[in-house]
Amino acid sequence: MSAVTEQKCPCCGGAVAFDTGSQKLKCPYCDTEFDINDFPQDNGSEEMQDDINWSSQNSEWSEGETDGMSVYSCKSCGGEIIADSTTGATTCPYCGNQVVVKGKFSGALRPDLVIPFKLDKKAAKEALKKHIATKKFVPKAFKDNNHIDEIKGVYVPHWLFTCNAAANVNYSAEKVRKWSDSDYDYTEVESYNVFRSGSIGFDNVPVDGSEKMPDDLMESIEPFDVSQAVDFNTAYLAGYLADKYDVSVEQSIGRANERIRNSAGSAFAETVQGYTNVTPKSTYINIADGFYKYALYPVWILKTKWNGNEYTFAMNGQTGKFVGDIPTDKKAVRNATLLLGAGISALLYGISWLIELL
Amino acid sequence: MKKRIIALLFALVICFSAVISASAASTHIFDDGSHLSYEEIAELDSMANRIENLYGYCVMFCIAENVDGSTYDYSEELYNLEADSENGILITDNIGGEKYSIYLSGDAETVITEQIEDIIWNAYDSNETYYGGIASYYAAVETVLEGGAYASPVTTPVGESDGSGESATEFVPVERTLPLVVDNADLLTTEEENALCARFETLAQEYQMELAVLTVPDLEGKTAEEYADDFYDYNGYGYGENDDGMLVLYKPGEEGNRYIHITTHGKGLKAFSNSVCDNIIDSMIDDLKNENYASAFNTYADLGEKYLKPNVSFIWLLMCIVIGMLAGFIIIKSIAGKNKSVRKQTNATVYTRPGSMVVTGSYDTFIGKRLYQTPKPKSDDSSSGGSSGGSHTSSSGRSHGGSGRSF
Repeated sequence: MSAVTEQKCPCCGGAVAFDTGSQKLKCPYCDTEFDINDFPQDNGSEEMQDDINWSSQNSEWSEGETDGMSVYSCKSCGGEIIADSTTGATTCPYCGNQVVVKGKFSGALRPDLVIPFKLDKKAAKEALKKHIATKKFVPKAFKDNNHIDEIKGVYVPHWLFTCNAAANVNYSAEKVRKWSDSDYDYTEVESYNVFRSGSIGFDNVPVDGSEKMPDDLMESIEPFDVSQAVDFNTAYLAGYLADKYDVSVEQSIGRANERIRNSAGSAFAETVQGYTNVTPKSTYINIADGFYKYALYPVWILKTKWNGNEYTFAMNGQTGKFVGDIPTDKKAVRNATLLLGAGISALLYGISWLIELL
Repeated sequence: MKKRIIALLFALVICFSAVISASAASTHIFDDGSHLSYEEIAELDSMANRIENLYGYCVMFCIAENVDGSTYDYSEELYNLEADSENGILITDNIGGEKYSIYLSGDAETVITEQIEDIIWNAYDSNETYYGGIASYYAAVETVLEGGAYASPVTTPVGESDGSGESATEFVPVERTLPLVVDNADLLTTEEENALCARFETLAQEYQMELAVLTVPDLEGKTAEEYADDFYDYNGYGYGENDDGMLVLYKPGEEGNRYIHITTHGKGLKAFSNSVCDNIIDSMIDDLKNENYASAFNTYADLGEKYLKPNVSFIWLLMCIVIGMLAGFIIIKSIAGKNKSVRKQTNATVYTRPGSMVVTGSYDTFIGKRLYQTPKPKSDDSSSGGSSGGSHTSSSGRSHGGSGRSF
């Protein structure tokens, strides 16, 4: 028994993969295309991950070392696949076939939604080139010797929170008026107590549910367009990596609340108009009617190594938004600062000299 | 060929117009009744030309006979018809009508006051012959324009003038009439005086700023500030058009009866602020008490040069470099900062459900009002002496800065 499954082509028996161009499943061997919904599904069975007796088989595994690991055997070649316990879809290292770990996306763990990949590997590579080319002060060596060590399309688990936020905010506000007569300058300060209450709704605020994916990287490629999401079907995963969530809803909800609170606060602060200064004194924001969804978002992850450091880039697999920190050439920055500074100084001095002359 | 003809024609036109203008300019004397010989007219004409070349004034004279109507109107008409300079004077002596008229044009209207008109007229009238009269009229005008003998508060102090406040001698000459060191109290030896004078001349050339020293035995009833300001103004001190400069006045005496005052004008106002003047006085005071006058005035020259040397531009340069470097740093930093694109989101504003915002309660309660009243800093109208701030207006109507004290 194996927890690993392949989407087999009904025509030739080869493993099929999801094609971003046609948004359909395509068999790389016989070129047959299948609509996702027509493809036979078999995720009804509750085959759970096999509890292979790791520790007893191999005494050299120290305690806890196998905690994050699972072993599967490939349906095509029978090869052993060792993967993270959260891996939901991967590639067989022996035969290269796409495999989906079935138990990862069944029952309560089944995602509600998936946004299919719209952009392929080629687009991701192009985007990286463009990303680096448009940046200034990139070390020349990094630009020239840059080669991609790893590129992978990953369905990253996200929790989507939908809620209404009820706000009660007190502000202290001031209107300041200044005028002067021949002898005195006057400043008049009128103080106000301003109160606002109301509610505001938020839809599908995403929080990264994968421990492996850095949260800031995932938030940087937001937003995803949830209206293009479809009901989950394992067939979409074929050809990509997929992770199961390993950060629970309870752990994620705090991050969503934080963002919702900030947005609600600033939305209500904008309704306080006509004052010189506005300072919030007390802010109560209650989040109500909340529910969450579990969704897989498409992300291209690219990794490069330079000078012993690893640089990770991410591209939104739906919109193409590309992010990733690039090293800066400190010497070039210093030189440019000095040069520009000297230029501006000279210009200012020239102008002041001219003014002095006139 | 064609070009040559055009060039030739062009040259001819230029020569012709030059001849015309030359002949027109040579007429400054109008002698209706042939009271003057040809030689006399030519002589007077050359005097007029000299004045015109030196000061840009067209100085004319007309001997008219039996002018009908107003002599003044006649003069105005004649001036506008014949004069080739906007600034000028025309005196018309109407022999039959027994009335003369002085017509002033352009700058002359301000430079030539009524009293000076009298002086000029008297210069003419007191002479026996027409030639002698006109010649001394020209001489008088030249003296006035040169700013000489008619303007020396040393010989005719303003304080002694009549209640009207306007005296014939009160005007600001264009050129300086006295040396940069005037030692009326006789505190310096001739060598010291010459050395200081040479030093101030060099400084004036180098920094376009005249530094001057005046010692007086007596303030002649004026305050030290008034005396210094008036001496500066009415003797034409100061470099260039704006009379930029600084003058120190010292009156020796018994303890408590010694006065020192520094007055500044033009760019000197900016270069030597009142606190700078105070500093200069502080440094001079010990030498003055000990009667080391040459040393005191050399200190004055040293400090004057020191404050001129940075010339504000050094501080400017420093400020420009600081601001420029800061601006460069900010700009480059913002460009280089774009290399970092991984950032946490701070809000969820993009996920706001459209139209979902409802404001149910909105109260703006007025609590109270506070009024702050701060007195305005007093501006330039302080006129008291000592180390008062800002600048003041001297009797000539020009503004001066500076500082002074008695000790």
